[in-house]
Amino acid sequence: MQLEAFPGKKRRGISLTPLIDVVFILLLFFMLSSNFMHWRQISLSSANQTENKPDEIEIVRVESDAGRVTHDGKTYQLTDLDGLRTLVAAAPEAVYAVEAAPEVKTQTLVSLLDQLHRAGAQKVSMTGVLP
Amino acid sequence: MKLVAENTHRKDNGDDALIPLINIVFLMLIFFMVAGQISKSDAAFVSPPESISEAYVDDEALQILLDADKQLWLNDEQIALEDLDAPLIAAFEQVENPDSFSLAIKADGDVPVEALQALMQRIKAAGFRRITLLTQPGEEQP
Repeated sequence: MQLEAFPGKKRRGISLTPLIDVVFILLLFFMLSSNFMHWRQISLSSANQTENKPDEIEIVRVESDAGRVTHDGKTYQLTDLDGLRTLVAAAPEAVYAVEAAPEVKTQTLVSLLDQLHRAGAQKVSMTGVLP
Repeated sequence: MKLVAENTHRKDNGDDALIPLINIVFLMLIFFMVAGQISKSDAAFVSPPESISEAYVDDEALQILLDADKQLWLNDEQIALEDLDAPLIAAFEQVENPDSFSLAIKADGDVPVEALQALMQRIKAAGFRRITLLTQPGEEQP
């Protein structure tokens, strides 16, 4: 007597459909749960800036989200890197304390910080605006 | 005269047409597995300011979210600015080495600076000094 588990059904290779089901589910899981954001940070601590009393503090104030920056009575544009370079070149060793007018966005403040770094300022401090 | 022999090619499986699809899906799967990193999603959506800062984030830091509506979130729960001290101090007391305890502010780029100032003043008043602002690398400006 011959016993057959699946009479009439011919043996084939492994069916791919269940495999695809599982792979699709895995794919969906990884697509939805993975995160491509690369976080960086800016230190806001004031503790490490107490070494010496800085000789000069230059206050740079950002006036508007459009990028108007004032320093010592003069107006600069945030995107005008050459203008900021001349500002920094006058006193490269000074501490540049960043200030912000009311209602200025955080992004604008961070951009000013970046631009001052790009312009060659060694010490840029946010402690004026963020005590 | 027959030009095509009937039995020379394998019996059509029906699934064979799916193999290119599976190739692509596998490729995507491997890409997402390798390139993405799985992390807990935040309680509120925050679009951080862009910066050229290259300092990597301290994973141990306690994160405080400040979203575009100036709402504060700590440990996935909304919290008022006035109530911030107690949970911060509780977290500080539970941490293993208090010297490296730091706070990370994950603020939205559109938040006005005053909201950030108020938060900073509150944190400083509670006695914490190691505070960082989280950013993300933006496009290079000319």
